[in-house]
Amino acid sequence: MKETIVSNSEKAFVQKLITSGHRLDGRTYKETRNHQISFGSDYGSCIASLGETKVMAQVSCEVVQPKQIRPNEGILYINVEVGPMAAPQFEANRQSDLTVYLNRLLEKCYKDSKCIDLESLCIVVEEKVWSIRVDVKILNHDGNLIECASIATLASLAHFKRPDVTRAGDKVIIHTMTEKDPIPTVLYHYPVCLTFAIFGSDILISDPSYIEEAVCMSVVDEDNVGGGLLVVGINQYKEPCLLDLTGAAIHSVNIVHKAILSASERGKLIIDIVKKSIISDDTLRQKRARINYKDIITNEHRQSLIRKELSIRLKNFNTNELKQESEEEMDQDDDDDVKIIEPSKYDIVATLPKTAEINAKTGKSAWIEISSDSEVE
Amino acid sequence: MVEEDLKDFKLKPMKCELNFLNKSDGSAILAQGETVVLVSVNGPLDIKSTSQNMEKATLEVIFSSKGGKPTVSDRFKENVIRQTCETAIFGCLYPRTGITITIQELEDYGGLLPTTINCTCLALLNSGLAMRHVVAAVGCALDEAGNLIIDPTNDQIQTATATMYFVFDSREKNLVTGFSTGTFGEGVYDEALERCRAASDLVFNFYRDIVASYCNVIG
Amino acid sequence: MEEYKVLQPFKYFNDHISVNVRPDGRKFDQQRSIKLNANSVNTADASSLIKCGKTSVVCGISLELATPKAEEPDNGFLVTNVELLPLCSSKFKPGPPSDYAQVVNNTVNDILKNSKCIDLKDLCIVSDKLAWVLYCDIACLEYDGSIIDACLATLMTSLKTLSLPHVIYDIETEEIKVDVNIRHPLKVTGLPVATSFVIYQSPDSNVALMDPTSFEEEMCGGNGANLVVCWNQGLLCGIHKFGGATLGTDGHKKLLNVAKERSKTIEEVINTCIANETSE
Repeated sequence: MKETIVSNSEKAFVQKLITSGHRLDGRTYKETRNHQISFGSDYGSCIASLGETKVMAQVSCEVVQPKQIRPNEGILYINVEVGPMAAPQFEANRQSDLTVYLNRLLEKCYKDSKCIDLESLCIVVEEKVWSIRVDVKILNHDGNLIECASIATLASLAHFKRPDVTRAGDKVIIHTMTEKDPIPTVLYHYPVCLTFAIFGSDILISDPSYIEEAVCMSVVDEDNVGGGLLVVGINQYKEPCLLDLTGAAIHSVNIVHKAILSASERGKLIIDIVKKSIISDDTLRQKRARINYKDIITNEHRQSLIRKELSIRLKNFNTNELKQESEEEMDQDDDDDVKIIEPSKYDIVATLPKTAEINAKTGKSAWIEISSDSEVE
Repeated sequence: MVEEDLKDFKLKPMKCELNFLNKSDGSAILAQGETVVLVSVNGPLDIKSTSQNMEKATLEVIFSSKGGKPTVSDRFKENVIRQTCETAIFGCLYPRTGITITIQELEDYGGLLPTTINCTCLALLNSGLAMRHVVAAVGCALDEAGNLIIDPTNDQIQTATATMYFVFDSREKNLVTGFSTGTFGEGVYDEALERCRAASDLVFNFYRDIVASYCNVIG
Repeated sequence: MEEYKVLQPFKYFNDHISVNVRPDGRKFDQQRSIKLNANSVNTADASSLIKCGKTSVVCGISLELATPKAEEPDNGFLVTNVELLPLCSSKFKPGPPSDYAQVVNNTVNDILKNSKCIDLKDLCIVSDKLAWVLYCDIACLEYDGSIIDACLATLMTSLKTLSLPHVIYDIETEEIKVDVNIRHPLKVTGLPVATSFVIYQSPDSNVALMDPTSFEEEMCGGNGANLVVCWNQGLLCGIHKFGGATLGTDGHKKLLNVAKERSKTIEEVINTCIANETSE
């Protein structure tokens, strides 16, 4: 299926909103969506989510013959798959520009930055080395794939443990997990990719959503030529290890500098989250808790039709009437013994055509008021 | 979240969430015991004219294992699911379009294929495509002593002499799809079929609970 | 009549079924005539050719020596490969094996594994050092339905006629000597026979057609047979139903018995063919 085109009015609206200092989902320019990392039962299996963007990464290993030019180094292989699960416009089993782009960026970030100690993966020089394969699968595409994919890759690599090996003469014995404790992968540093969307000539937005990405990559009119996506790879020591710009040329160097500074702050936070989640997972495993993906199944998403999909919210907008209505609705939910999400400090308002029906029930043509409100600003 | 542990037949606890992915037309994540599968359904879609069918929707099923390269048994799973869904979906309402079902394996602790079929059915219900009937897959294993175990655990599957899986429709409880491993007698097969048919009610009830609570939420 | 078939295939088919006869004049539970020939290809170590009505399939087994896998040092290898070449039907395109070919291959392989008629340990010569690899290549020459039945029958006939040459392995020097003059027949226990059915959803009741032709398969869903029942000497070793129209309990039982009867007939065919071959 062809990709749905962003309409001109949508483009103009988003652009206007951003130049006036707001974002569609009510975030500030520097704010990111929620990070969540959950691990599966195997070592090196994780699902990372960034807002609604979801990426799964699975690390596996096998013993292979090393490459001739590097006889004492293991092999790291990264494979990205974007199927129709991510969004309907993607085709299955076909290399698209997007997969090549993601694959290359991840390779740059994790292979070329030499964050993994490949020499420790060697078993017998010139004969047997470990080959580590990372399968990255995009489950849901809601913007900023690369950041989410890199978090998933980093978390799964750091989480992964390979079986222990002993050499007895010519023979190499691979121990099972029960025989000997598996060995974690050595990471010299923890790099992560962060995305910034550039609007106009000097607006920098962290963690762009799907529509923000689409808008910044397309030019609305002659005044707004600048626009693009800047990917910065950075490690926990605030050392940049990857820079990638797609889209129009940027006018000043300052914006790159600004992005790197912002990335170093944000990158540190993300790496801390990754490290923390691995430590907490490890302590759970030591207590012999059974960790399984079934734990990510909650009731939250069943409500996506009324709340999740309406991630669009505007600041400084209040009507008491709307709040009352939504409280009533929550009471109903309570009767059904369903967990309620805390009412956010912003009012939830629909602008998408699909969701207008539900909105009509909760408030009287509320969103016309909002658009006029934002217009005034 | 609905968790069930029924006494008569004891299916493994099931846990399901609909609309797990917001970009797909319908999606579901289902855990049956320790086995977890995620399914997304997109359709009806505009597809290439070469693969269009004048009579009904063209069904495409993609099964993606957890990691590693695709294998022949993945193709087999895709085929089983496609043929099952072809009977379940009212395809003739959507001529010249395509329906894509994408499956991602998350955890495999036995009974992957039945869990996948059940999850696919829930995702189809979530997507709102017209269906002739819903389907429920139930598996059973024959242990060495000759006892039938409904909805076996991973250990029971590993030690079983034979496993049988059946998929029933919701209207007449007839057999839609079936597959088996190992060797077994005719009497055992008949008994397994009847017991699984009875156990399929539990799966259909589970579907009802999920859809009912979902409707309450969006209601 | 031909024009009618081309223009209105569904009506044509339905007209036949409604008067309890199939387009080729058979009854619902009647199979097509079968011709089986063993050792038809001289370049292969064992081979056979089967013709079920118009469907013809040839199977050739070639032997090779290899080192067993480290995880299973006592097991040899049996590799099946089903090829649906473009020459057998206009449905198949050249290139890598189609999804359908992979499904047929997987089903045949599953049946063989489940029936346990070949013990892979018999293929091992020296543990962890040397084992036989049986490459079973099954090629379809003409496709007219019930492909799994034909593939399995020809594969089993070939395996039953296969004999392994004597191998002397010197552990010290790792030297391998193959003596082709001394041959041991391969031990084959049991004889799985598959029977295909398609289930046609007629207005009043669903009917099952045994040993369907390609046209009948197309009329009932289009992706090969709907139901494959495999009997191995009084035991079931695989029931695969792939979607399509559904069947009630009574109909189901009847089909199992029909398949059981047929498996006895096919077994006799295979045994007669092999007896004939060896007596010559």
